[in-house]
Amino acid sequence: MATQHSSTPVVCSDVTRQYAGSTDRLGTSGTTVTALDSVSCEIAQGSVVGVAGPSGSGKSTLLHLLAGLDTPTAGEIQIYGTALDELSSREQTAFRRSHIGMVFQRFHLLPALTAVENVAVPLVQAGMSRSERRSRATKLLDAVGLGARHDHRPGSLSGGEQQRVAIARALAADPAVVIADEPTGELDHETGEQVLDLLTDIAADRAVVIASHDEYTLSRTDRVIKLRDGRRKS
Amino acid sequence: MSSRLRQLAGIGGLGVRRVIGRLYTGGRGRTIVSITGVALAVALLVVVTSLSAGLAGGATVQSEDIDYWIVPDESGAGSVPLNAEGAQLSEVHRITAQLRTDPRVEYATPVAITPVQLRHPPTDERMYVLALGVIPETGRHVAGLNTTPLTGSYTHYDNGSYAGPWSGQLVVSPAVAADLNVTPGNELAFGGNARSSTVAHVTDTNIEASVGEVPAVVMPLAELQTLTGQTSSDAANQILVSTSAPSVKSLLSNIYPRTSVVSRAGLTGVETSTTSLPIAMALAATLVAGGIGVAFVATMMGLELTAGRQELAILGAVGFSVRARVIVVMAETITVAVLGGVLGVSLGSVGVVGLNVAIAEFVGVATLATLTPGIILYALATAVTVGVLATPYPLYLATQTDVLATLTR
Repeated sequence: MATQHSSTPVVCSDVTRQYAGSTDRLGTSGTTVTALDSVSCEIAQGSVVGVAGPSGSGKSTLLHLLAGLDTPTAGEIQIYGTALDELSSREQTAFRRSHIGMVFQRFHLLPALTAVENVAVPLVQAGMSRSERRSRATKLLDAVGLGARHDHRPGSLSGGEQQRVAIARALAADPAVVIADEPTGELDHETGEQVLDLLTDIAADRAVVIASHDEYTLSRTDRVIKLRDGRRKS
Repeated sequence: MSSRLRQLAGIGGLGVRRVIGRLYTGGRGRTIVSITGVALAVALLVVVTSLSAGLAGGATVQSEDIDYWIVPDESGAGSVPLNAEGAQLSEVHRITAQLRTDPRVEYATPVAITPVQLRHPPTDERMYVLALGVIPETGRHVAGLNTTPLTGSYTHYDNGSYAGPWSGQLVVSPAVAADLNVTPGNELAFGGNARSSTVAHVTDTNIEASVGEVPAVVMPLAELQTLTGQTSSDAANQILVSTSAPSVKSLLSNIYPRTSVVSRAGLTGVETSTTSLPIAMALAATLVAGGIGVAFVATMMGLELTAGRQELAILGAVGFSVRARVIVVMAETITVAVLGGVLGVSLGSVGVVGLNVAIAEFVGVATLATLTPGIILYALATAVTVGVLATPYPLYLATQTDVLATLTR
């Protein structure tokens, strides 16, 4: 189902992200916080890479940068040869739409839409017809084992089911990279394991990056990037 | 359909589905309040506009007789039925006879209005009165004066000539009877003329005008024309037509050039068709409904967006551009307004029925407010306009949503 890509999907080169502290009423600038400090990595197609570290280590920052939701202060991130920092905000959004799928800890589904409508959301701006969108979303929901729950809204789905809908949504545009931020954080062990099975299954023809501080989740990945205080430890 | 159009339809459709879907979830409260706000405003618009349309269209004729008055433009419609000045209508007997052949016309009479001097010979009391010349008919009143006692006395006009017998019958108002000290059977002479007439009846009511009670008499038109020298052109000031068919109005409009057709719900009713009141009411209703609707939708959609900002951020995270998110918010705002409009038209229709029932009960007019397809379209168009006018604030909030900051909050 995934698009065939020719080069290494994800390359980070000395990526640094700093946040300027806010200025107080006297005009004194706050302290600059370095969330990520010269981190480099390569993530190959077909691999599941974990990003580990305690809270505040820079896991989420790295994921947001990889997703094009944030821009590095220094360094470069390339997704299949495209340098994200060279894209305008609008181009980054368009790039994310077609190349990157995102899975969040809290699922972030749209509560007013049914499961199948949620999965079809990323396809709306692709200009597909309604029937094409629905057909593709239905196949994806079947693939994640929710064939009987197409027309249920998130409020009537369990946490595990909601996360599977979120994974189906992340796959809707057939992205080269799937980024999951604590995907099992809100789930019990058994449900979390089912979600991890799904994420490892979809890695066959794409790169999957999973941020977690759960040891079991990290044990299911091919390789782990460990971060501490914004720096890469291994 | 081109890809771009499909894209636009898909994005707009997403906004519509989100509003509809929200009605099925726990977060329906704000949406329902927004829809209800628009609905109440539109219902108000429908009721007031229907009432305006009813007043403007002479809808009062549906259950009771209405008097249409053909008056020359120069005479000024505001003074009907007492205007005795200005241009006159000619050939009124022929035209009236023609009108009476129309089955929709229940009664038609020319009305000549002229001040004349009356003298009571035994006492030599004299006074000027307003003489109304009519073609009498049993049960008909003109300007509140009963013409029934004159029935059968319309003999002076004889197939276009004024050679028929002089009936010499008068109906006088109480003011005339009191001032000249006359009762039925007394004879009254006309000043400056050898003719005289007999008092056939004294009515119970006077003609009220802005200056107070007007002493008046009603007499056969042909005899008044003879007294005042209006026989050659067969002239009168107005033609009164009683009917229960509003369609007669267009017929009347085409009889004489440079005339107006003025409607009244009886002579005691309020003159409506020549005033700007209906238009003013409809305009006021639109402004009030629009104002309330815009305020409701803008405020509630603003609250909705503030509460659901994370959902906009999710759309951004899955690749919706700012433009696409703006279209989603616009579609949501307009959808809320349209749903409110549809509900408002339904409520307004019930309101119109209720208003008519109440008016029939307390005023005695069966149908006053008239709901037409045009009013329904107008109300729906107003609802859409409300939606469009309410979009700037939600759009401002949408464009100010920082995807990353909102997702990580």
